[in-house]
Amino acid sequence: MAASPLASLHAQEVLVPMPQILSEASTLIKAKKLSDAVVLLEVVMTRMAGGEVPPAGVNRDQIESLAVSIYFELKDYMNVEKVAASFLKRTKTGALSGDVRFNLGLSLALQGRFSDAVPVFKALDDSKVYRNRARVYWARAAQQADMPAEAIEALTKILADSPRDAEWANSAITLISLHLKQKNLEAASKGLKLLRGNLEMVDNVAGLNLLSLQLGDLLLGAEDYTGALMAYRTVLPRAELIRKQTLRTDRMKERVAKLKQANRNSMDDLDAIKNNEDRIKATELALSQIALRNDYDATLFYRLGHTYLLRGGPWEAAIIFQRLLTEYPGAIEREQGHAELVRAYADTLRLDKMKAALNEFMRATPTSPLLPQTIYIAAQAAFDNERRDMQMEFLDVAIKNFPDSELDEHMRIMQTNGHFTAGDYEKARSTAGDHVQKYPKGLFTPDAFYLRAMAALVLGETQIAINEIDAYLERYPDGRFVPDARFRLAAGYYAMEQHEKAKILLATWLLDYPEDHAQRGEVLSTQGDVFVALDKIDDAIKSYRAALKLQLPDELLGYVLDEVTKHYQAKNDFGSAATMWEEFARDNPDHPFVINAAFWVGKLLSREGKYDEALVKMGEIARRYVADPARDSVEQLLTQMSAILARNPKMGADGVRPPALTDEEVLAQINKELVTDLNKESPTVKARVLFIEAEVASLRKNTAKAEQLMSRIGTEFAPAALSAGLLGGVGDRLFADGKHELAKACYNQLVSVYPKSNYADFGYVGLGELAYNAGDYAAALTHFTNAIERAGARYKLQEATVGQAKTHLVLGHVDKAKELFEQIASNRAWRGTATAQSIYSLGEILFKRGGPEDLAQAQAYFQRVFISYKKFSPWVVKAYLRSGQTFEKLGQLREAYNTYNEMKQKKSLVDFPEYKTGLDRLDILEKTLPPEPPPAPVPAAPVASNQGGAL
Amino acid sequence: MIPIRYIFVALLLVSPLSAQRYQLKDGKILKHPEVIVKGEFLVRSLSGGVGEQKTPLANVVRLDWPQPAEIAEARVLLAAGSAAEAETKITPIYKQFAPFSTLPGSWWSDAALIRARALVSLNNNAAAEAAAQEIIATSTVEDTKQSARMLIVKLLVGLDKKEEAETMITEIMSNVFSDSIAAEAAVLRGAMAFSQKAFEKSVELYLQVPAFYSDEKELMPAALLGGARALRGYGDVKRAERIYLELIEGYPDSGEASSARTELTELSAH
Repeated sequence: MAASPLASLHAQEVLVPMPQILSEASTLIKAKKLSDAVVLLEVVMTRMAGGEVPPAGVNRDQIESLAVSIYFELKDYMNVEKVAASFLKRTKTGALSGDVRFNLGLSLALQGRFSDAVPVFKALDDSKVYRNRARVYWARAAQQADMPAEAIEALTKILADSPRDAEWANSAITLISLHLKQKNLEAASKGLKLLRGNLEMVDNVAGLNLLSLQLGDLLLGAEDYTGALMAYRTVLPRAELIRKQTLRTDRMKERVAKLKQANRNSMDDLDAIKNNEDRIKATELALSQIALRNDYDATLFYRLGHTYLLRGGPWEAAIIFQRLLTEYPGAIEREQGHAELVRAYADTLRLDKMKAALNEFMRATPTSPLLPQTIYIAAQAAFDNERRDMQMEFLDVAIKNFPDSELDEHMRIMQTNGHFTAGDYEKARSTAGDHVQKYPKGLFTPDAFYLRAMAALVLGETQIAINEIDAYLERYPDGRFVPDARFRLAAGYYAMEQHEKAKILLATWLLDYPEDHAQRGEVLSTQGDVFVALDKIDDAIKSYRAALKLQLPDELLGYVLDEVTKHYQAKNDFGSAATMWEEFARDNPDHPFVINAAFWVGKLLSREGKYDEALVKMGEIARRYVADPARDSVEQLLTQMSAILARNPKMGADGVRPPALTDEEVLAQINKELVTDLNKESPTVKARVLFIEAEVASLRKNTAKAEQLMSRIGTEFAPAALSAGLLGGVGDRLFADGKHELAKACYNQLVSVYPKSNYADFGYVGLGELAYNAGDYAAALTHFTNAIERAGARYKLQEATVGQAKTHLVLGHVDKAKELFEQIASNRAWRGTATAQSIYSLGEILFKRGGPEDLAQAQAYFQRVFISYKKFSPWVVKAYLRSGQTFEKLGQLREAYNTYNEMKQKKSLVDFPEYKTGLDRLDILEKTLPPEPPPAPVPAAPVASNQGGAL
Repeated sequence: MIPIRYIFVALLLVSPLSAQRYQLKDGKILKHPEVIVKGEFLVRSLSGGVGEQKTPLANVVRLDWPQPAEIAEARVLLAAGSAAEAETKITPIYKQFAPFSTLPGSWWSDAALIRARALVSLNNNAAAEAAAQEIIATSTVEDTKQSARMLIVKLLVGLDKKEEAETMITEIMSNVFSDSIAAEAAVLRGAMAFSQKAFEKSVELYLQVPAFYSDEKELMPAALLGGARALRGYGDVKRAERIYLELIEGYPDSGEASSARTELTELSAH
């Protein structure tokens, strides 16, 4: 390239006029002879610096900014810096300063002087022209210079002002990454949250996934579970990631194609093409790596599930761990997954699933070091939810399989506690003994030591218990069970009938421990028992009454009140007993025993002949609760009141017996004592008034009226208005009346609303009978069993057992039915219709087997029914018929004839269908049998000696 | 000033594609609104009103069109429970792109799906089914077609045809499916389990959405509300409350959040 003539002439020396130099420089620039042009500009700059005035319209800033641009284009970055420094020293604002700064910044960056470039780009933030691009370079240079704060500032500004598109999203990802490096988790979370709302714009989904995982891990480490969850939830599973990233990569490729197609060749387009191509390359690499990692999702799922669990989301955690274990059974996270799935089920109280998950864990990795802790958690959950069987099962497995676990001692004490709580004292003693032996100085050894002694006490091995309690007191004088141990020691001596020793120990206890000690009431109660044993009744009453002044558990309170009442009654001191109960009712107006108090007050006053006062006092308390169906002990009180109202008055001093109250007077008295303006509309009150009337009628032997009144309760009032006691009685009345739907409603109300009531077995048995009658035997069996197992069958054990037996029979469970019928038949307390039914049914079982031996034995049962249980006609008539049929099957037609004929004589049986069938058989036999003299009576076959007897 | 060269990997902003253009078979580009759709043609009015230049719609092979604002607006309306307004908003877009329903760059599939969803929400079952069938027959976007099939499942669930619904879900899930489809299936199966009072199963289905498909924001309110109700049915009231709160805090403007507030108040009252 030829040099400019002006340049070669050394224009400065020749002093060529400045306009001419500038003109020549312009010509050279247009001809792209930038090197020559800049020489001329240097001449101009030097002369202007020397004081020469430029031509009109030209100033030094223009010349210097032009020189900066040319030097930049010539990649002469040293001179860019030199001229820019001169410019910026003089001029800091204006459009030209923007040009100069931008070129200076780029020059510095291109020389790798990123930290110097940062402030230059940053200064352009005031420039409307350069702001957006300068921020990008500011951020980039700051990253290169390891100046994260500067990069963050730049990127934050970009995100705030830029349109939300793919580049914006990419900047956001970079910003999050920087915040993560700075451990600025809050800002990173904020950035991620912002990005989550604009995920469609993200090109680099794989990169975002990685950042989210990193952020989640850091937040999890910082125990910010909500934040961690938010981060992990941004991470896409592998398939979705691949799917979305492929779509995004296609989108980037399309974008590149469009830009290339546009062929604008602008620097912005070229930059965008390069950016997109680089990003495509990076994401394709990331995708190919992710595609190779089959367990990619397992890592994500474990983190997600773990975080959900820690954050209180066990349902979600369980869902996630289930999937982790199903889809990635070989993943490295599987053991943790198994363990935490068990915990998730425990937390959601799904114990059967918890057990299944634990079993699967033990099957999949039987030697996992996580198993002991997992079993411990499962056992604790089972305990908390009263699944003792499950708890014990887990503990047995853990103790057997992981004897060296650091939780072994914990599990052993839990096992002993579990046995003790379940009332399995033998096992409790055994496991506690093992504990003491294995861990003589363990953390829970004092507990095991003490529980072993307590188990002995409860088992009645009192001397052993005393010895072991003594040993405990010697070994652990400051142990936490010492006060209890000293009390139990006294109780042990009391049980051994060493009353004096017990008396001394109890007295010492009462002296040694403060008035407000929690066990003081219990100790005083036992002291009362000891005084009774020593026949010191007044001292006993004093101790009991002292105990009553303290807080006692309800069970003990009831015991002490009953004991005091009993001893007062024995002393014929009914007044003191009544006063005690009155005081109790006054001091404890809301206590559940208040109704018992009223009962006793009424009863004791009645014993003194103070019937009117008794009624008034019982009425006072009954009125408080009579409208509340949940108070089922009200019925007990009403029964007591009924007894007073129904009584026949004693003869007066004048020898005249006053008349008993008429029904109208009874009703008036009931209304006076129970009904107020406030409660008179209550259906519960109305039902209870009918109940007293029914009770009075029953006590006066007017059964029909009593039944009619009970039936009215069932038909006139909704079950919700009735107490548990009424629901049972009324349900049975309705059932007997054939009003099965109404009866069912009562029973259902009873078992669903008052399942823990003393009367719940009425409900279950009633429902069982209804289901049995309807042919739903499976349901019937469940109800009868619930009556015993759930409700404890306080009143209906016989009916429930008969129900189970007959249902097993009809279901073909012959052995079980036979076992139950034998139990019923041998229960002397139940002798009556249940016995007749059971003996008949035992015969029926044998009859159906049909062998000659079976039939002979069946015959004995049938005959026993109509010989020994004549009162129970429904079973007697069945037994006659079956007896005749049995003879016929055995070919003993004459005996059959005689049996039917005997039945024919029983006029009490004529209404039963079996009677008619028997007569039909009699007719047939009469026609077929030859006449002969009457046979000798048929001897009964031998019957097992332990089953029932004549009434 | 001298143009700046590319110097290092930069994060330069790319201008959003703001053009509204039709690309023809021969590579020519026609810009909207210089041309407008009239019947079967793109029509350009010649200067001076001297006539029209017509291009058959069949010659268009691609659209270069930014997403119409109505799509996002209708989605918001739908999420807020304003199905009627959503339908009104989206129907003109659905019609505008109908001539180009199968072309790349067309917004017809998106608009048609939103419209169909609005019709389902409005219980306009016949129209909704027709709309869904139209998408299945017409759309070239597999995800959209599967979503339309899911809408038919939703209709079946609403008509208590659970067996048919389950069969259809199983069929849909037997193919490759997106998270969006998996999440929809979980919600529909959760609803079916709930109606059968299988509350535990229902919880496990509904809560798959927050657990695995947290990007599915449109489905999230329904999943959370269903999950909370199923938890109540199961008896885990404490966790039901937590899910209600998550719904109210995360999606405050949704119709489901409104229901959640009422149900949470009822729970508190007990």
